[in-house]
Amino acid sequence: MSALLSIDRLRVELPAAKKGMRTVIHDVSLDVQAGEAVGLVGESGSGKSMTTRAVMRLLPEGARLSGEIRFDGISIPGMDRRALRRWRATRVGMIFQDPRAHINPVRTIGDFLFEGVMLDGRLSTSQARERISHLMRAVGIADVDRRLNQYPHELSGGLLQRVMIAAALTTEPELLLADEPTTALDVTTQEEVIAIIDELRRERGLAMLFITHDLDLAAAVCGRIAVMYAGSIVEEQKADALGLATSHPYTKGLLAARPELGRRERRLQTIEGRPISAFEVGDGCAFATRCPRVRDRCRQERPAPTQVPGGRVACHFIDFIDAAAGSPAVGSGGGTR
Amino acid sequence: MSVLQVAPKPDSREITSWGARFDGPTTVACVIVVVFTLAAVFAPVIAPYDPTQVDPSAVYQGPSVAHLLGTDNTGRDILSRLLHGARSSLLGPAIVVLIAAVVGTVIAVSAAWIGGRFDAFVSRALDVIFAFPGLILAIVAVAVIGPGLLAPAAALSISYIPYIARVLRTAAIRQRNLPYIAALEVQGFGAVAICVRHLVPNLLPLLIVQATVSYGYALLDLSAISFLGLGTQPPTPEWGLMVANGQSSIIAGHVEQSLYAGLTILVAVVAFNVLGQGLAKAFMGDDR
Amino acid sequence: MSNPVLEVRDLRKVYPVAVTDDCPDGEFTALHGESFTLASGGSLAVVGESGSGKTTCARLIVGLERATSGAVLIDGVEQIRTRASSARRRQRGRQVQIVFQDPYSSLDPRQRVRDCLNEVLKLHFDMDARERARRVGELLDQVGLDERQAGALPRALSGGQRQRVAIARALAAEPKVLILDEAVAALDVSIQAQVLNVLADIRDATGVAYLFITHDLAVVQQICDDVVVMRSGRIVERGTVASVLERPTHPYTQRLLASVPRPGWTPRRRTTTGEPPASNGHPLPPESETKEPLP
Repeated sequence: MSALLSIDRLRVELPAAKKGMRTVIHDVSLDVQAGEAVGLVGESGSGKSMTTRAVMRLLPEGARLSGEIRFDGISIPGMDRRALRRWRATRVGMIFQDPRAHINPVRTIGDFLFEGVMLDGRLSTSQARERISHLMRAVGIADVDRRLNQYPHELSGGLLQRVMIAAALTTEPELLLADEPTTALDVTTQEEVIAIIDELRRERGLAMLFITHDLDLAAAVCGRIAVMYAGSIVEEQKADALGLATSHPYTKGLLAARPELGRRERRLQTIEGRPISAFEVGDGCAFATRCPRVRDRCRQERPAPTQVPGGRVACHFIDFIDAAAGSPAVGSGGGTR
Repeated sequence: MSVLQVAPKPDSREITSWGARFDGPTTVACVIVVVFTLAAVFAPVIAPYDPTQVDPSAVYQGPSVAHLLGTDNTGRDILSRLLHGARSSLLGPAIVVLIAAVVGTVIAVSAAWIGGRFDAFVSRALDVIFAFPGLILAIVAVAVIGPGLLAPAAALSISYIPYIARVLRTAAIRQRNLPYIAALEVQGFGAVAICVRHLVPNLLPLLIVQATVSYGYALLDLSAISFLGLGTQPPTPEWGLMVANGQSSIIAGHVEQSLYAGLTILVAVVAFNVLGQGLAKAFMGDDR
Repeated sequence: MSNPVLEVRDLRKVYPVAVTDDCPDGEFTALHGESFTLASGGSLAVVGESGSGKTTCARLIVGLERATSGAVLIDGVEQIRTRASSARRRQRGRQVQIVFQDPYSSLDPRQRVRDCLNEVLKLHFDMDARERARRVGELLDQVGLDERQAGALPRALSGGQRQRVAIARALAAEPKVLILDEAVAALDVSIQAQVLNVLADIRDATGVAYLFITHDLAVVQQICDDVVVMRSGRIVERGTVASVLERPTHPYTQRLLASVPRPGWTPRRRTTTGEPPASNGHPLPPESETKEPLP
């Protein structure tokens, strides 16, 4: 079966401030099947956003990319400008963290939405109008006509993000790229927006790549989760298998470090040190500097992803971790699931 | 007032820090500025002749080993006059920029700090000064006080205050609203202490950029004033004065004096402009 | 409950705004005359979303803004609302300190960590250079930083480290109350846990009381004893963390709790058509979808 979006051994380097290149993504391979929602989870600097930018060909100037990204079998890095524009306009929708930065502040919501539909070129004006008001209602916007005549600054963040969702769906894409779509929103608004994305995605059978720093949030709307750390995917799992015995120590650490409602601990489990950037990673495992279970081998040799029940984990000592699953150093996050 | 404001990445375009990394043109501009400054300082040592020494036997001489740039209509060595001219030509704009920078910074920071009506008043006042041509102001000053270096420079500095203050005020308001300033206020530090020790030092790179660019324009303005005969008075050498002086010789086919003096002004103004822009680029690339 | 170290009494803040359809009287009330107390050595969470007035509340308590009416009492002494003398300002600084959300702009970019703490110690205490150096070391140790970071400029530090410096700077004045205004919200999860542990240790060691301004209920549960829940400038529910988080009575609190992602959580649409969800007799006022006028 060929995937709708297939990222194969992606490596991205950006020009550094002074001289030379800095690696921001080491080796990312990830498939998204048609109709499937995949979460890409990581802390700041893990490369999760850079991965989506590579997919959308939105990398900064001077970036060097190797590996392959295919959409429906077509190479995205290989597209010419026309094909790229056409692909972006019709087959993929994108939702960003900060809707305000991605909408022209001096044009009305209506203008913004119409522009997106007309770019597609397949619809008449009345059909476009019909589709837009249908989508506006679908994302929970009640008085469509009034909203269409308003300007972005007149709308709250949550409402504007709904408009962005509607905009992403106007051309009936097959893939939705959502880059931290709710991070800037209040929690109650986040729930609304996430529920809307999830519902519309399921109804339309859309595939989605969902970028977030919140494992629980990703698990709620995605079937599969890939966890990124310092430019590599350290683990890819079914959402409900996250944090189980075979999980990567980083995933377990993340789950344990997050305070959780209904579970007060005297002290939170922490992951020592700070998240490192991709370019700081040496020859060994990216997580070696912070891993509670680190061995000499981890510092010298980059672990390849190993098949485990439910997914892949890039760790040399996956069997060992399996055996030690009950131990307090790694156990807490897994224990509650 | 969003609950979860995601930490804004420090704006890399904000000019707040040191650590200059110059590109090619900026380096060249920097070298020119340094050379001109050294020439001004050491003019008496390096100038081959007395710049005011008239030599009727050597008028309008072309470039030679004895007179590298030739002589003028009274036989004075042009190179020596340029070197000595650097002193008043470069001192004038320095006075302008110094006054404008000090007054402009005080105005900008107080407006940003106090805010409200005071800020609105200051902004309007700056707009009014901005609309007033500096040259006219300088000419009025000369009419009242008399020609010389100081009177036009002081008058001109008033018209340069808005160039500094307007830019600095915007940056100061930004800084004023950053939490580190609020944290200092909560500690109990007084406004003056916070401004002098924290706010102004953080504006310094921007101030230097503004001052450098303004310096170039002030040099041009003061040269124009001297050209009109309202600035530095002969026989003291000055570039603008030299251009004016050489005018009559042009008809006789001797362009050297005006040409070299004009070129010197041109090079100096361009160098200060390029340097200012280069500094801006260097400062903004270095904010993490 | 022991004597309150901080008492907020009928605190009200009104901002003038542009007159619009949504706001015909040209006023925006950020805080509607609310009261609460913080026990000495206690830890009180002020929970709410944007526009709830929680940040306004913090700014009023530390004196960054002046209340329209009402009072802030620290150790039973009312804080004056007018322009304070320098001695009074310093005195207030010794009583209440604040840590802000954004670690990147909370420190002077040109000041080394050591100088930053030194400056505060000089302001508040009559110490010689040696005593100050010792105290700086002590403070850094308390927040888990070492000599190497003491000599660093903020730009050389990570977000978590910067936030530790901000905490150390606030503690340098030995305040009775430390306000943490979304102080861990911008940090990565793994770093957030470290800072929360540091905060717990500091309270054990120094007895400082925390006023924890946050939107994050899981964090509240981890580090606070009591909680007030705010919405649109009003306190809608208050009590101990255990009781409010386990048996919330106000529908807004219930709604907030239900919105927190956790294992097994499914997001639900609640106000799709605009009518408030009916629940045990407290209909929620429909939330305005138009952006609120900001001060």
